[in-house]
Amino acid sequence: MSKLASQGYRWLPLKEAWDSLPEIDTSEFNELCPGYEGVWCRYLWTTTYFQQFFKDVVIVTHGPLSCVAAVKNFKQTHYSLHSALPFAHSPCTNMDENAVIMGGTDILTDTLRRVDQEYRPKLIIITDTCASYMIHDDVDAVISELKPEVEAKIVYTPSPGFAGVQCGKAVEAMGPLVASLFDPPSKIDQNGVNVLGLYYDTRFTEAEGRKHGGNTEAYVHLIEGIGLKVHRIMNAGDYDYIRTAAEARVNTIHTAMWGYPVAQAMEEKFGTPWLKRQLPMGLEGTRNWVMDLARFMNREEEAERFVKAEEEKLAGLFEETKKWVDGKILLVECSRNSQAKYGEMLAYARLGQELGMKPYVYCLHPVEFKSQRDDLMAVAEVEGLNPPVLMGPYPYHQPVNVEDVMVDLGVNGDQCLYIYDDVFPYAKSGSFDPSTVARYTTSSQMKRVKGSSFLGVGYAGTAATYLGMIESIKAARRKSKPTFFGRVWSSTPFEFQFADQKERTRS
Amino acid sequence: MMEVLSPTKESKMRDQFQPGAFIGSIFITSGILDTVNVYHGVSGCHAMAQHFRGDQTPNGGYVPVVGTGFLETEAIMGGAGKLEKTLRDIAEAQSLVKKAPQCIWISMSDCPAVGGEDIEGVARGVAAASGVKIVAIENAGFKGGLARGAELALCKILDETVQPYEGEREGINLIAPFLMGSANWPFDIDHMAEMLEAAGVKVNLILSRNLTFADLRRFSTAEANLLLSYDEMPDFIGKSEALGVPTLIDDPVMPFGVGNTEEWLINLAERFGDAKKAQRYLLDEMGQVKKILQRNYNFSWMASFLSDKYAAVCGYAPFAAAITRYLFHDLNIRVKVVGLWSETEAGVQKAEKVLEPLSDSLDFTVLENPTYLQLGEAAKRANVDFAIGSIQDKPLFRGYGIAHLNLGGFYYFNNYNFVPWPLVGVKGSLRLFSEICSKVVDEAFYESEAWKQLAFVPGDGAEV
Repeated sequence: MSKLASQGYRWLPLKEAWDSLPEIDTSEFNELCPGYEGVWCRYLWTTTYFQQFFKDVVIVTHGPLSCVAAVKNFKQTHYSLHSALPFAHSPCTNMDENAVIMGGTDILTDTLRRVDQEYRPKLIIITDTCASYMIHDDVDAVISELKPEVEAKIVYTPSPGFAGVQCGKAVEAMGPLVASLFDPPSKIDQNGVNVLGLYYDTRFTEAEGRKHGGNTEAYVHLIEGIGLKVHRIMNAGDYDYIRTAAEARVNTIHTAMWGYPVAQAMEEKFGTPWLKRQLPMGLEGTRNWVMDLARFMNREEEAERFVKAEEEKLAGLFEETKKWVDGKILLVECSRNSQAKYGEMLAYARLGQELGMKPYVYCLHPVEFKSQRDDLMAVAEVEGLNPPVLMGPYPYHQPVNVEDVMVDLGVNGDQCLYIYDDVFPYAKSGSFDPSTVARYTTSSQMKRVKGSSFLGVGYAGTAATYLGMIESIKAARRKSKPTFFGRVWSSTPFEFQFADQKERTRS
Repeated sequence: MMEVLSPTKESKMRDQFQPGAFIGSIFITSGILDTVNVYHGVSGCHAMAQHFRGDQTPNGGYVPVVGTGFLETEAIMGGAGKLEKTLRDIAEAQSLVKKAPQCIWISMSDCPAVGGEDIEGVARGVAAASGVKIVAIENAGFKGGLARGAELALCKILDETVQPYEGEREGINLIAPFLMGSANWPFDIDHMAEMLEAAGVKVNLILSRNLTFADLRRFSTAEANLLLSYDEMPDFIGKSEALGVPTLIDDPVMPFGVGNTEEWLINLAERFGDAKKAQRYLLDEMGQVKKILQRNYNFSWMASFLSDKYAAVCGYAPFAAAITRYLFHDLNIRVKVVGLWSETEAGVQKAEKVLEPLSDSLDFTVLENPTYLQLGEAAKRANVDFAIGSIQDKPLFRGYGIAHLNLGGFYYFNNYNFVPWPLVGVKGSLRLFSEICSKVVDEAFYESEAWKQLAFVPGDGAEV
């Protein structure tokens, strides 16, 4: 029995794995995965999500300054620094112990007045926190009271941190809130296509001065490539950009987890139809995404021509990549908390499968997996993808070790291509390092390629991924000179130690 | 002239980067290496605690912050059961830790605090059963900011671990070094201790950095505390006083730059050490600096180039005040706007006292606890060339087209210099100056936009 099996881990097909899990936040799940508590909270997800709107939109937090700090801790660093989001002014009611006891509606009223006067935004979105929600501050009453005197539109988006710390649960709740910001359409742009489901990205492009492309260029290329027009990319933009989103003819999806809830809410509220396919990555994945849109918009002929021309450009690289990955499996390591849409990692799995690799998915935390039902629908039902997934306890969010995964699968380093999500790649000189096992960066936090979407979508993104995979496999051929990162994490940082280790093992 | 504006005085509204009380507590407890933190609350707060706990890692240690798995069900039904299970697991070293810690600290978030969770009661129960010391700190985010959280932890430490001392007292305790406001604080506090020792001042305890739980007992043998925050901590000061350890309240300028270092070190040496030794040490350190910079054409160029330029500074009050003085005194830079953040009125007032001597020789505006909008607009109006702040305000200033250097705040995400070199002290001037030359001069003065616009293209416009 392998180490993983003895710890209660087992491989199941994706759909079966999902069905095998109990409902989230139940005692049964607590037993199955002890110590699960999420990584962010509903307030954090909601506030960072709405802070993707900019210029004349201000998010006001009703709660302690500490909650705003938790947002700034990441939003004002990584999201701004590496994904082109501008500084988000985030005034806060600075709720203290006194307000928790006596109520905080007065400080909310004062803050909203000041924000209206000093920042002069067109839209104010109020997010609340555990403390203000638990004491039942009547935010709606404050808004009604202020309505006659403030210039800005004020919208309340309930977001107490404790109410669904699972990412999927928190994001599902946001769909209707996003849709509530849109005006009913006065007209429909018959060629207008929305892209929903972007998270921490702007529509700002390399041509406009961005150093590394987001996703906008990719979708503009695909949509304009078949003679249509990008209407809105969500979430992004100022208030006038947001409010007219419902004037599109159709909604398409970038990521299911962030996109489906908004698409569903827009369908209910405005009747906007939507297409379920997400993440156009790889030749087949991109073709399917484009053709779905083309069928809906009656542009199949243009789309066939466009897709064929683009595929011809990539045919050589595709064949070359296939040769390089021949005989390898794809180790798909989700982040240890799998907080942010595992759909991305599964899209890479789909891309790998198209190249002839069998993907194995692990470190997908069962609670997050279960909570992100939209991703499951997009991957399993829409795409028909059903790779093996490693289910097990993952106690206290502890990841499983990739070297244990390899032992369990009975493969060596030369038989693997390793991809990872988030910020915890595994490397240990002497056993598992980019110098010995091919490792390609697919983490949306870490991947930046000039001229390509950082999520790898579209044809440019696909090309960048193929090239990156080839380069990773070449890099792992050197079998010496481990990376600095691998040496720092290893008890054998120097190569002379490898020889000693081998000698000891032999004797 | 120093103009002081207090634009948010009439309102509670704030937007400064100020993590809550539990973070302040965890900064203190995470420097006590044979202990474990247990965090009881919602995961968003826990994520921040884990991030900032990492500040103690460089040349320090790793003290875990273990969450209890507090979910929506616990928010409604109470989470004492999960807290108890987590404490037992750790106390009995069943999982997560290899051996039982000397102490488990419990911190909590707003949600269980508003719900009235009895963390003290659970702590007592598990401590009695396991024999492991467990200290519960009621430090939810709404209880205050970092300084208040640090104070709550310090008070608990004094209550639970320190006994009065009757013998001869010696040396000083350095308290809450992360509250200085320097993003380089781990290396800064290590060097501050070196400087004090060189000046004959015994450093009794750094509370906290690289301590064991048993070290805490030494607290009461010190002559005095040097609190590295300008914020008031009356509860801690009172308890310490009762143990016979007074806290210095004249709040000297922090030792960033040569001028500030001279003032800081000699002041403390005169009271607790040997002023002559301090002078000899300073001369020796300056000798080392001169070896690098004297007759160095590159240094002459850069020191002259930076002279007379305009700057803005923002950050926690002790850091912002000291950096303002450093830029003006040491580099002859005109600081036009200073944004001071503090949790208490006293914090801002003490920083203003430190800045007051500049009033005759520099015209500048001090903003007390400004919003980022007020601060950014003031910097824009003042036409500053660059700003010194923290990583969280970089997009603000860069958005105004103002160059920005992040030296303040916390180590996490702020500090990509992995060389263990201080910003404080005479030798720290080398790093401060290097940071300004390499980053500010590049961003504020290199004409890189023109290079892009005016770059060579072949005559036919085609790619080479």
